[in-house]
Amino acid sequence: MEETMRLSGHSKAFAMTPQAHRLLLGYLADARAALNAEPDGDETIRDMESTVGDRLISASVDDAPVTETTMRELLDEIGTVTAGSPATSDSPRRGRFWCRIDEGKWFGGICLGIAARSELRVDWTRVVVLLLLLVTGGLIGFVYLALLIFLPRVSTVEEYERLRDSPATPR
Amino acid sequence: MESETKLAAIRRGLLEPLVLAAIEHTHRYAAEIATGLRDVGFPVQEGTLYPLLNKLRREGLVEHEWRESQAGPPRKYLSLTRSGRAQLEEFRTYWNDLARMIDTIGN
Repeated sequence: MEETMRLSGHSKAFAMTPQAHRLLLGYLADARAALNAEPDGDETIRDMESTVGDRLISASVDDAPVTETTMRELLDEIGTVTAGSPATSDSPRRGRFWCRIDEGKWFGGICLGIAARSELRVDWTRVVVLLLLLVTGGLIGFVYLALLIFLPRVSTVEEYERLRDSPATPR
Repeated sequence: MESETKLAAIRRGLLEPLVLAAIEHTHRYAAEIATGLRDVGFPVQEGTLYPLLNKLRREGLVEHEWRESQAGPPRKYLSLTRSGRAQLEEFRTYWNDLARMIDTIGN
C-alpha cells in the first residue's frame, strides 16, 4: 500500500506510505493556514513543496516509498512555517466586497459572488435571480451584464475569503 | 538559560540583514542561503526562511530569476534590488552604531 504525490516544481510523483502522505498533507495544510493572510502565501507554499521534494530526492533509497519516520524527520528539519510579516490581526482588514467568482460558476459567477459577499447559499441566490429575471421580463439581465463588466474577478470562494481577511492595503 | 533567551531575541532581528548580506555579491537560491547561514553559525529552518524571502520580495528588497539546475527543478536565484542594497547599508550603519554604543558607554 502506498500513495503517490506530486510536489510543485518537480516533474516526478513521489511514492510514500499512507501515513507519510497524511503527515505531509497535514504539514502543508498547517502551512497554508499560517500563511493565510500573506498576499503571496501560495508562492511560499510552492517553495515549501519544492524544498520537500528536493529533500525527498536526497533522502530516498532505491525509490522505496517514503516512510512515516523519514517524513517526520524531514518535516522537523524544515520546521513549522511561520508568516514572514508580523501578524496582521491589528491592522484593518479589507472586509467584504463585491466580486464574481470563477470556480463553480454557471454563467459569469455573479451569483456566486453575491452569495459569498452576503453569506447566502448560492442555490437560493440563483433561484432568486432567475425569479427576478422572469418577473422583470429580462430587465435584470441588463443589470447582470453590467455587473459582468464592472465586478472584479476572483478565482475561488476561498480566494475571496482570503482577500476579505487580509489587510486593507497589501504591499 | 535566562541569558540565552535574551540573546535569542537579538539573533531573531539579525535574520533579515543576514539574508540580505548573503546575496549581496552573488545570486543564490533559497537552499543555498539556508546553507550559507548554517555555515556561519546561524541555523535557520526553511519554514522560517521561505516566507521571509517572499516577504522581502514583496517589499521590493530582493528579486529573482529562474535558472535551470542539473538536478531537480529550476531554481529561483535571488539578488538584491537597489532598495535592498540601501536597506543592507542602513542595517550595517545602524549595527556599527549599536556596537559603538555598547563599547563606549561605560568609559
